[in-house]
Amino acid sequence: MPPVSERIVIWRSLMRVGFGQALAYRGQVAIFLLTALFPLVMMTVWLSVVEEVGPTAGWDRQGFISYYAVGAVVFQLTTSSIAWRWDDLVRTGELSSLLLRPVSPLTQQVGLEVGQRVLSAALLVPVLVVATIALPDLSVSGSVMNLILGVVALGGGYALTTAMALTFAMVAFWSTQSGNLYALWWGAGAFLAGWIAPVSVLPPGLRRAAAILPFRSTVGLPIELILGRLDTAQIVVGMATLAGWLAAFTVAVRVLWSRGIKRHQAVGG
Amino acid sequence: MIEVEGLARHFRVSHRDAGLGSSLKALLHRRYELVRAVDDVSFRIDDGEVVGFLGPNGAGKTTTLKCLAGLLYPTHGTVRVLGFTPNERRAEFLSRITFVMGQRNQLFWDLPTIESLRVNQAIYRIGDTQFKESLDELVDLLGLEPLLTKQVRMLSLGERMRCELAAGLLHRPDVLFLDEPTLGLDVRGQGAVRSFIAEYNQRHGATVLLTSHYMADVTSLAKRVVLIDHGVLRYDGDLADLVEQAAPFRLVTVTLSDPVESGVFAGYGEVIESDGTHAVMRVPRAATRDVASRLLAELPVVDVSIEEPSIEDTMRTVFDQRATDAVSVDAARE
Repeated sequence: MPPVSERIVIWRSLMRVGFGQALAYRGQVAIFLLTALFPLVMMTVWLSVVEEVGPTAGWDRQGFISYYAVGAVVFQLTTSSIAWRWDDLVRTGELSSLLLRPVSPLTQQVGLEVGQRVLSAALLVPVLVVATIALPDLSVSGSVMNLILGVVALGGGYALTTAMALTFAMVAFWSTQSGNLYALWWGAGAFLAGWIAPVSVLPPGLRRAAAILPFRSTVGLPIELILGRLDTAQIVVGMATLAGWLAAFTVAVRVLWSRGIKRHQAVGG
Repeated sequence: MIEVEGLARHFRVSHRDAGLGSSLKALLHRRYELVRAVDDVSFRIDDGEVVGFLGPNGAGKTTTLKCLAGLLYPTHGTVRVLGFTPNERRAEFLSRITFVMGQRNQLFWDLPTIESLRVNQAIYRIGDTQFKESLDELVDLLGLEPLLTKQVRMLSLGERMRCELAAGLLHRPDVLFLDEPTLGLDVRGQGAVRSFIAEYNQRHGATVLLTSHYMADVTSLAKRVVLIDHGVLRYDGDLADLVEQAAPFRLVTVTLSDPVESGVFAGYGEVIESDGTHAVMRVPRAATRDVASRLLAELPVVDVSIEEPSIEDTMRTVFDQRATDAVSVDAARE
């Protein structure tokens, strides 16, 4: 394994390329900015609910606006397209080019994607900061410590999404359906992640499931931390759940990688 | 050094007939076939050698190269390259080889070429001084100057191939696996790539294993060839010896001042074409000098020339002969 200084150089270089790739087409950037607005559609639904029946599970108008505004940034920063990309790499044989380099293909792909996320952050975080200052209904009331923990959870959430995506990506060594399998997993989990609504709004059974399963750690946890809506015990349990799932999926990726690569057929060419 | 002993790589390949019915049937039951892409191949290549790896399509050339580069785990047998077992994919091993595939793109498609080279600098841990030296050398040998800042997707095939070579050789590898490096290039492009490979081999003493369907690539770069067909090694040795074995004749062309009966030429060799004053004949190598002397003594010769058959024709003969042999062996087994 290369020394830390060399690893930093490798990551910086890959991230620079990922950043450059994401910026290569203006149309792509415009579409990305539009997709960041999707959570605001869910927000309008919940605002009309609050208007009709009042606050729901402790979430009032200001709470929902803040949740989805912060969520719009968190969703973009903790998402990962690596499962589909990997599926393509294996199916078309492009993985061969990455395998020939003296750095793990997983590092290469994640490095590129982190670069793309840096661009997402550079575009969306300033908008969120300005909106927080300008809109009285948007309030990030957590302490500085909450904000720091929220950013840590955001990084952890991206790492967990990526580890989950890579676990399914490794299925590509056995099946050509890894991307679709991941879509199924993520589709089922989106509801429990806090994508559709804050987890505390869900029925008790789903709330219990959300507390155990990995999805909430990737979306709901960082949002609620940044908004300062969790007490110390909830923060400890949330961070421990995130760390536990991250460790479990990291081990799964390593095991599947070492077995899958032996089956790799390096098709084409 | 490259050492290959009893290498085999088998694949399980699924089959499905055309049509909706077959698609549905394949959901429940799929037909598989075991393909022996490489079967019990052994050879050894010394440091600094340039070896042509020849065979018809589907012969097992690329599969062998992929095993040597660590992309595939062998089904059986052992492979050692520079003292490493390739499929362990150690960073020290990968830093000393390159595998350039004519139809594969290793560059970042949407970015200028220099970005891919910069990433390789980081990945291969090339210091700034060596990077500059290496890049200057490659820019000079491959004429890359105007291409470095161009988006890769905007490059022509020939330009892209030159950039691929630069990306593959920036870290100055000791072993080069080149799979069809001139595929699709025009004559000028082919020539440029050939000269570059020869120059690189001379300057850095690198070992080169090259596959190509263009015989000119092989004849201009390699003295030794390894011939593989149906996954089995058929020949390993001097290219000139192979040509002599496969084509034990030369072409004698004669032009006369006065016409003679066409049957006259048959007394000198196997007539390929004749029109009374001009004839091309296939003559056994050992008899060439004697036939030429007789022609000059017995006929009104204006001009006589002796040529080697083209390498393309020779290889076609070799592959056709091997195919016939394989069919005969299969028939005998049945």
